[in-house]
Amino acid sequence: MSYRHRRYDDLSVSILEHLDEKIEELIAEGLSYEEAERVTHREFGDVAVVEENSREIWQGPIESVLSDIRQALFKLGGSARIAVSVVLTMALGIGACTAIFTLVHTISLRPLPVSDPQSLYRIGDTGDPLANDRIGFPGEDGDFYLFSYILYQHLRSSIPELGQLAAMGVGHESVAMQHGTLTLNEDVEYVSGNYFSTLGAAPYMGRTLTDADDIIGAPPVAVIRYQVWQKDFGGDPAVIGSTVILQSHPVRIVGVAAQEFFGEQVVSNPPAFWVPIALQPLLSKYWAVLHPEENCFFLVGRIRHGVEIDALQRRISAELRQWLSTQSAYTTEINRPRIAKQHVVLTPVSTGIRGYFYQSTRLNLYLLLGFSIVILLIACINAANLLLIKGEKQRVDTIMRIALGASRFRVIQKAVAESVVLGCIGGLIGLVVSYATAHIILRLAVMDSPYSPIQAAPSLPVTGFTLLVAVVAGTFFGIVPAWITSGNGSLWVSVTRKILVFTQACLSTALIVTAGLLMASLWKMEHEFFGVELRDRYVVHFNVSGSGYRPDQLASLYSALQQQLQAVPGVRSVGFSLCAPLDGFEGTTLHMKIHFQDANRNGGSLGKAALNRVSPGFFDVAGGRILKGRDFRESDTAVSQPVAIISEAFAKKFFPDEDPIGHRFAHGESASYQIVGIAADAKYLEARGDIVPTYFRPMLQWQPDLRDPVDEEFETVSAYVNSAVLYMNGPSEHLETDVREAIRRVNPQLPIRSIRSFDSLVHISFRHERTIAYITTLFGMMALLLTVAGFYNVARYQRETSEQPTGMRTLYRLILSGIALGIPIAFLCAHFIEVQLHIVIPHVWSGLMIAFVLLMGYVFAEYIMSHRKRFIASESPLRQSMRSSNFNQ
Amino acid sequence: MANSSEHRDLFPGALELMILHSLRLKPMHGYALVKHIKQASDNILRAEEGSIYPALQRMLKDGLLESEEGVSAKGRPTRIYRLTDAGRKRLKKELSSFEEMYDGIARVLSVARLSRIAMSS
Repeated sequence: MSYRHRRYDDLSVSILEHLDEKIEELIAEGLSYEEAERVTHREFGDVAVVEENSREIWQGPIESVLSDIRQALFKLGGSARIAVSVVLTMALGIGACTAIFTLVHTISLRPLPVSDPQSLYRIGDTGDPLANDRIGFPGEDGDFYLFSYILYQHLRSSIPELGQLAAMGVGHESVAMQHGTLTLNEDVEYVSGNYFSTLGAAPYMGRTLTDADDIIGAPPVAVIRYQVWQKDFGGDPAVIGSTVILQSHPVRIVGVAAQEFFGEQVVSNPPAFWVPIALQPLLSKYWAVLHPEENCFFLVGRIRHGVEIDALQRRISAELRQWLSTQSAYTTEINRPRIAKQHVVLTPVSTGIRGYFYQSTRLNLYLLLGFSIVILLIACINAANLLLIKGEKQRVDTIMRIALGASRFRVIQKAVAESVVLGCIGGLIGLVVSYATAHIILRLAVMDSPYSPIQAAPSLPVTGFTLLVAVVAGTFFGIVPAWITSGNGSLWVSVTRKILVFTQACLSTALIVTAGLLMASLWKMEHEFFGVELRDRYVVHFNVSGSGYRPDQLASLYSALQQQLQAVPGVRSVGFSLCAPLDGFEGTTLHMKIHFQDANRNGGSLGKAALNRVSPGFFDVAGGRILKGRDFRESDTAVSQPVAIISEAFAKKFFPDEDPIGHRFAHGESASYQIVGIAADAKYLEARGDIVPTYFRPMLQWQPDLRDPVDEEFETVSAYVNSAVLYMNGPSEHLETDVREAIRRVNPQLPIRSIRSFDSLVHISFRHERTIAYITTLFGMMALLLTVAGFYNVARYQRETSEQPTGMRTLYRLILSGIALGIPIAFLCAHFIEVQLHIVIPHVWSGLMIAFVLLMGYVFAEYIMSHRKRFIASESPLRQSMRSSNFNQ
Repeated sequence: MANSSEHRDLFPGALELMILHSLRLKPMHGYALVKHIKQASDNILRAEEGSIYPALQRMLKDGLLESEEGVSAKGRPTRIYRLTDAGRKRLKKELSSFEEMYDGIARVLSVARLSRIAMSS
């Protein structure tokens, strides 16, 4: 090192002497000192560059890379405009990519925050647990992936190779919670007693659940999530051992889960409490989960090291088939032959169970990831184009260096070091862009809770990813221009530039047109008629079932609620329903198997329909319509003739050719209902969803003595109507406080879940589509910005260097043909999205409109550019003098 | 950019050859070397003068030259470069291969000239 340093010093001495000697000579020839100095420096060249180039010769590979980076940083000031453009370009590209990766990482790549997540396996693989019947075989092809509690206990005791096996409910249940003066709705998850020990999740404070807690009749206990403890209990340590009231039953909190623990699957709203499955009959009216045929648990086991997964899988499958063949529900004539096909698949769940949340967000995420990669590509192309211009400008320097014996590899290495440095600076700024973008995405997707495990801030692995992307992208956009400008064919430069310009025009057009199509589709979906009037309608959710009312107290409760809500200022009318329109987000939906006394109907007389229970006059309140027959009346009570109103879709499905009014049908063992009216179809699930054949029953027409416990349970569950619809005279500023006050007057312990307008329900329903459409538009804007900036730079360079206007013409021709190719690509892309996301894109008109707008945009740009060129040209002194001389002639 | 074509014609190794050839006569310091090459080549070397230094460093590293402390014509401290035996050998080799190449080019050019004469006659 000291030897090398001495060399460097010697070099400086030589150069200094060189300059001094030359200056002296020039002064001797009669030049002034300043002049001599100027000439000397001009003829010598850049001293710093000469020194750097000389030193480089003595450097090893690592040192040369370091010196390249140092030099690149030093040089940033030199070509500031290009450097800043490249950095900003890359910040956008890398930022977009990182934002999506942040979400992909959080949702599907991050290991569960438990000990040794690698040895956790789920029994079962795929399956959307909400889409299937929970009774019978879960999968069509014999894939068994959901389990009943009894089957869980059987497997747990009969398969010792499974070190530990825990069961957990597939969904969370919303319960009313009271603690002191606090009345809230919280989500609980039912888990087996060994849930925490199987997952390897230690508590933050207190203890976790044990098998002793998971016995029917054991003292009710719960573990609270850390964030909920912070939010609702102010992080008070006294919460351990204290009692909260869940669904009007006292439950003791025994522990606070670890801060980072959110359960076995990544969701935007993890449960507030984990409670033993044995508490389910107490807290939930749906106690049927303990029935042998009710499959509603995920099973996760910790498998001992060294156990072979395939063999274990076969063993569990055999045990499953053996057990099924002993169960009466599975040995009916239809079911028995299917037992032989039943099997399980073990899947590693180190990153969490991929449940409903994952299934519903995955596609959107991958789509956005694809779009963000396009943005990154456009950014890289843009940066490459900028560096190509820079490379052209520095061509003399490059040729000189090669002539002096520097290898082409060395020249390229230097250029790449520079682009990587630019890329990394872009990446750092990109982290900020990424945070903002990810935040917008979470906001649009209604997932921006500070208590959610899904956050926009880039984590350490994400930062690593960003750095990697920056380096790879920097190499990519640096190496091509460096390779080309270090060679000696300017043909390649222009060909490459043309390819880059064309690709950029094509990609950004494709992106922005796709965005336009998605926006058009979103607009169309949101402005569909959903079967009810949206204007001035609100839904209030409360939790009657959790507040300890007996069925015989309900009539007076609803009457009191009706009276109080009606008295709220601005309220025109009030109605109640089990499931309010557009309310799949929070409403209760019950799908019932119904049958007709007329045995010929619907082939075999069985069919499925959704049950809703509503108060008299509800259709008017919600802005729905009775098409035929009558609405419910106050006189439709427990003692009068059981009646039902059916929806249009119900009528079409079961009465295609006749008038349904007066016909009768029933579900289970219930008394038969007489059809008294037909209501217009409306979306009672999500605005996003389909129209479902539905029948309505009067809210208070209650059948007390049903023989089948399942029927009785449904009758009870559906009697607890948890939402009210308000029809207002107009906007009301204090609606929320007024409504809360009104309900408090009826019962201060009755928790209110939410108050939402119909409009906001529609808005929530399309959150995924909106996220995709808005973010694609955001990306489209970024692409447009990048592309326009890129074209501007190329055009500017073209103007600076090229005398003839043909260069500009070619450029615009390329841009236009890029656009021409981009539009069909966008339509293909939109078609793909349409199929994947089950949306409808109004193709023709929106497409033509977008194409036209874009075309106009570019024609306008071309017009401006050509005029600008003329304008600039007219300013040049040479042209001016030429023109004036022409004029004089 | 304007005079880039002239630089482009400088083939790799040309500068090195000129340095070796100049130092064959006597050891020189940097500025003297530049002046010598400029005069001898009738100002063909229009490259920036500084470009000689990286070339000198490379040749030092390859052992073709050695340098020692010395003083310039004006009495200032500087480095004096001289040829080593390896440098002398390299010069010989380069010269013979350069001459071969030069002969080759000359032959091609004369053939071209001959054929042009033949065509015009």
